Amino acid sequence: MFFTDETEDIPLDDVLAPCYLLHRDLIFDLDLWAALGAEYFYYRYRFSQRSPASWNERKRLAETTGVRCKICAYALQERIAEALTFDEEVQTRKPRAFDIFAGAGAMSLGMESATGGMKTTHAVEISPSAAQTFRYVLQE
Amino acid sequence: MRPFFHRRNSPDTIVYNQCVNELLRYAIKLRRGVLEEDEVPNDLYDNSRLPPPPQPGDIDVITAGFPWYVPTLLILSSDTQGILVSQPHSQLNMFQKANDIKSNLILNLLSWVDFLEPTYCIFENVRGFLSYNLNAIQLDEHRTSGGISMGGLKFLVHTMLAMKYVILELHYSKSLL
Repeated sequence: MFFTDETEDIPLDDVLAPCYLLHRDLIFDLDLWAALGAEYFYYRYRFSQRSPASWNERKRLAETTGVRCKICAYALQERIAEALTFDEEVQTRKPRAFDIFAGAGAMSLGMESATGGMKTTHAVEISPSAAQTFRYVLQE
Repeated sequence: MRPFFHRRNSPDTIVYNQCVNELLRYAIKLRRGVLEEDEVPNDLYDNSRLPPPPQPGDIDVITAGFPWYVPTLLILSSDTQGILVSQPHSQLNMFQKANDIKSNLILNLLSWVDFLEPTYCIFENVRGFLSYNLNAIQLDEHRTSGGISMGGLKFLVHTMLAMKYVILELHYSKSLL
């Protein structure tokens, strides 16, 4: 992202979620930051308008520009760095799963074996035969 | 067939044999303390009373495969004469319906997410779901027209983002674009 001199009003109804925007120099690990999701951005330059004619029009911004709270920027990244990945969480917390449209339980079984820690505690299925298959397995 | 089943497959799993909409209503009414005694749904297999449904805090992960076996999924063509090809969730489906009731189950699924607030959600990507056009118009028995391209997926992504979920991985086939 980059800054411009333009402003635009957006209806509140169109706002989905906040996005996080940091100066590049405040981000410890850019790959980690980018991997967090679609709402994590960084900036470094300013252009006069949204569609600049040339890359040379850019003006480099100091790391203090636009940043309201440096403490928050660091705190957010520290919290992110300490967060467990899905794999770590599965191993340590043994998450309880609810399988919706469970069928005969094939997806639950697959998830439990694939993650090696997840446990399907609840499941819902409308078909009696599929639900019974989930409850019992045919052995012979 | 019961005698043939002699080992519990999932002894620790509570399986609710009931419609997801009924179970959701049961769960939310129970949570709000407005459930009448005669409103507890029964198990569709043996008619026993269903145990209490999961409540917020009970569930860390919601997993779901979309049940879109929409109407007739058997495709017959001259190339495959005599062979029934089951291709669920395909647009090749002979009888496409603009207002297929199963298409609305996505609303139930998202309501469960809103209600239980799990840490993770794992949804199976089903082809028909991705290419499903929201607000399509029924042309005739076999075809639908218009609507929002890949509207089902767009709706899902929009709603999950609005509920503060981060979409970690999204895989889809290029042929859908």
